[in-house]
Amino acid sequence: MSKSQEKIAAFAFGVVFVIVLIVLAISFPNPTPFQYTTFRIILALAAGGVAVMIPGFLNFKVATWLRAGGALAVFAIVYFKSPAQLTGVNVSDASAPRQISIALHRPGADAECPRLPASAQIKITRVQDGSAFPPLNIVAGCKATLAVSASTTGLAKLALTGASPYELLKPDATYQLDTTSWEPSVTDTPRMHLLVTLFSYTGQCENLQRVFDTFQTILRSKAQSLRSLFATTDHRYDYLSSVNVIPTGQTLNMSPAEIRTYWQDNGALEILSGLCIGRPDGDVMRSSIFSGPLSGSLPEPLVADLKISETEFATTRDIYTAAMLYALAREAQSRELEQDIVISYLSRAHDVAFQIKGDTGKALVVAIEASLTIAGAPTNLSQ
Amino acid sequence: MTRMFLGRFKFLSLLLLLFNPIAAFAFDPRQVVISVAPFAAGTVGNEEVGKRTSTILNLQIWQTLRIPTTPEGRNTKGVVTWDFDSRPPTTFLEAERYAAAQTDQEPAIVLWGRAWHYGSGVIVESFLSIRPGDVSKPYGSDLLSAKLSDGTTFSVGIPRRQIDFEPIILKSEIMPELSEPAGLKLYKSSKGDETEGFVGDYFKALEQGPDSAKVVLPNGTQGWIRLPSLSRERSEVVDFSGGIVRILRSDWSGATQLFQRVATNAHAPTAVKVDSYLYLAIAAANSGGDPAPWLRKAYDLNPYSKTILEYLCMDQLRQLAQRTSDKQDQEARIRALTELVRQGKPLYSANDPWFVSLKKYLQLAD
Repeated sequence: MSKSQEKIAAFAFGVVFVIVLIVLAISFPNPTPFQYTTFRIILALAAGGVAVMIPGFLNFKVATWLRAGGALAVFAIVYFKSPAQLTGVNVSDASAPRQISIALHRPGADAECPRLPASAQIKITRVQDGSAFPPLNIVAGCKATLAVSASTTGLAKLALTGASPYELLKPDATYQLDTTSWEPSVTDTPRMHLLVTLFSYTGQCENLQRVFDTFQTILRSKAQSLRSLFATTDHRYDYLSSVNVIPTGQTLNMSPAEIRTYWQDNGALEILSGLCIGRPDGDVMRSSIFSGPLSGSLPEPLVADLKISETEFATTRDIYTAAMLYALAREAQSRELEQDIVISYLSRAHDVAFQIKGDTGKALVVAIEASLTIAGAPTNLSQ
Repeated sequence: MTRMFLGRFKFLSLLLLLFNPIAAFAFDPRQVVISVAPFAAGTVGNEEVGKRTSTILNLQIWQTLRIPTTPEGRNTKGVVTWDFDSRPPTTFLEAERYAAAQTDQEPAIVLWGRAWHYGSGVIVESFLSIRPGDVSKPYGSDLLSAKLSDGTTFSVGIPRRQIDFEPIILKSEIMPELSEPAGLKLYKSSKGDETEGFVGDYFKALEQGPDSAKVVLPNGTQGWIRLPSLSRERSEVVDFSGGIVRILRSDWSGATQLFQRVATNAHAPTAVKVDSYLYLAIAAANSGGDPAPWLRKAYDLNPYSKTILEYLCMDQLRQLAQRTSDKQDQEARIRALTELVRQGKPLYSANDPWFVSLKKYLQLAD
């Protein structure tokens, strides 16, 4: 090859790769450290190739260890002086580490640390290419730290291993790699709906916060005592110990479709919200109980007007109890638990609903009796 | 026993001991101890209300205790204790821990709960734990038994061990001056005004009247305490708790009195009424009566209960065990029992040990 042919080939190589790099720059605005280094080398080579055709003489010196002239000088300038830096993008820190704090927690505003077993690990994979980060050990029962380079972006998916009985509440959820903290929810009752999600009550009543706190304590007390309603020796009921009340700390501001999605995504047994209405004869709390597909023949939501008075306390408590037991029966049915378990929940719900006065009580009794028939409960034992 | 006399700072006990002398306070299996735990404050500021509630219930239950009329009951004693130093239990698990910590008089029964400010008043939620004790043979598991001709024995016992009652609205006029039982005045007579100080941490009843009780203190001093408003304001919580103590002391007629009050109390929850009917059936069966009417009432209230089904079967088994009827009658009972087990199948688990045994006895296939 003659000298002029070499020059043309080098120039063509340079032009082609400069074009390729322009395309790559548009396609990968946030390259990984490895991509950036590769692009820089090729760009430097391409620039050197183009420089072959540029007349004049150029000398370049880096400290005392590099001296270059002509095309080689252009290569050295492009490679060592990082022209991409001139755009303002902080690419020189591309390989510097950055940390993402991961805090696993139970669902709800309380963000309780679930105390995972010591064997638990988090596996993280990039959504884009399926590449995996090294597995992370869990410290302090629920925390881990992922070290990434500052320029790391994209989405990641998580998986928990060795954490039984805990699982991720939303195993398909994705997390941004360019943030500094992730807070995935975990549950020890996967695929079960055992959480009573309590949205803050609103309204103009004088003692709204105290009434709300009382409702919350009633619900918690009921949730905690559900296991005790059934034989302690029958361990099929042990999962009831996981029924819990989760305050969200927010008011409910969702459409019916969004509430259903929320119910599905959060392992909810019931979603509760309420409005306090001031009336001349005393404040009334209007509670709405959403049970999603577990509502069966009950209206969705089940609305109960509960007067805030000591004489109505029992009714208030009973409505929540009966609704919770009814939802538990439907939930047990949906998971195809044994027939006698479903009937035992409905039987207890029947006991309680039977003594609730008013339309809500009637609606509950009708729904419970319909469910008992569907569950195959005997209607008349011969004695 | 010694710890009881250490005073209110350690462990306080209120005792009805109508048969044995005070000196016989060591653990005795024939002693039924019920402890009224300090009631928790449902909301901040209710601590004193919780304590007062506990005192009222304690004394009201104490008033229900009596000497059983049955020979087996006469050898038993009933004890009510209180402990205001412990942390109030708020769950059945905590109630169990509370009971296990009462080393002097470990109670078989614990009444606990919490008091709330709600609306313009105070309401009280009460819960009762009937502890099983020995797992292999739970306490009170054979209140009704039948030994059949082939030697097979069936029994039923306490229908439910963890009971929650309907909330009580606390009336402020009940004993406003009293914060704990030790503060009761000791009167020289049942009617006069002359007093001899206070009863203190430990006292036993010699005689229970409607509004007063004759008591004796550890130093031998005798006198009267007056509880007029308590006896008129007795809730189903007290009647039910007192009824359980009477059942466990084989006081069948006494238990019948109290459980009938619960069953006819409009305020009592359905589940508590159902339990009361079952206890009435136990009392009837053990005193030579017919339990069937009580079982029918329980069934009418809740036709979907496995426990009621067990009791219905038990009634048939008891009659089979009596062997007084002719062969035809026995066969009819077997058929009825078989039908009950078949129809009630959706109510019990295929592995339920009680029904597995019964099906084996009846030679029924799954």
